[in-house]
Amino acid sequence: MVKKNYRTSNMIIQNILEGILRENKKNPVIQKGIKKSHLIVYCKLKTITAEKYLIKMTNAGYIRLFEETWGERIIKIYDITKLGRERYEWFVKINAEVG
Amino acid sequence: MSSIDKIDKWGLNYIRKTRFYLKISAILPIYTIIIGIINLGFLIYLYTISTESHKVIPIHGIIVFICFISILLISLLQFLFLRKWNLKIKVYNKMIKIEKNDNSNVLDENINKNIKMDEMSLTDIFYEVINHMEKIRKLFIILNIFSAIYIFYNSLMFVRLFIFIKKAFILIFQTIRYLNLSVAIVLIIYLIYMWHHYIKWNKKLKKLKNYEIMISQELNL
Repeated sequence: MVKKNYRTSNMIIQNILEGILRENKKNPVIQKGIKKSHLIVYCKLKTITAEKYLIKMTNAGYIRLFEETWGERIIKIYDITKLGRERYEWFVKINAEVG
Repeated sequence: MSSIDKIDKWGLNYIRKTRFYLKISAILPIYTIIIGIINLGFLIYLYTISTESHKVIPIHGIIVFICFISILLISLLQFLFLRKWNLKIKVYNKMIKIEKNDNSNVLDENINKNIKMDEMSLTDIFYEVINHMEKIRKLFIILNIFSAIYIFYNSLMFVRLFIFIKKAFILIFQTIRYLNLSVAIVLIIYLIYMWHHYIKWNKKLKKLKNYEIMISQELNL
């Protein structure tokens, strides 16, 4: 039971990190980070679940949140930190190196 | 090279290795199906022409047949999963190509539209194979047991049948004996190869478990 929870949580976390990295790659010069709504769609998550993980990841220093104004609206944007990048690279390395 | 490019490169290298594994996994099921059909025909024929073989064929034949079917099903399951996984990887590869095209402003909108529908992440691909590893590890133990019984009874049966073959001394019987011997050899090679992977998978799953615990602690999950 505990193991399964770890697995599901980690899948979500890695998907969030990958989503930000991919978005940054699309336009590395202009763009920095991904809109919260786009990230939720990319990870195929319910808003409430996504928010729970985004808060935890921000508090752990994996991602950072900043706000941008777009007309009258305020858009929430998430970007990956050095720690978050390291953690995702670590995950891919474990998978890619062995077997 | 950007971080995601590096990650894609690692991911694709891993995928290339797994594709080779897919090809190897296809050999045993295909080979056993062919030999199985030949064997069945041979045993039915032998049963009809020799009354002495009636003592040997039913008991040994049933054991060998059950083991044979079990090995075939497990190896086929393994192959079918890898085949399905491989198709997903093709979509992922196309997605990466489109991302590159996006960056160089060479975009085919029709292709882009099709891929967006099946968009998947490297994380999903990795976790799918990890979940499969955990299931196949349990099946692998059963595969080993069936293989040991199969190799033992197969050898025993064909040593005993050698008596009838000697009497008949027909070339086709000799050929079938050697074909069956080759199944045992292919099975042993397959098992060695699978053991090699089994050990590597264990290492990977152990590392991954530690990694997952570490992330959970850092995030206070």
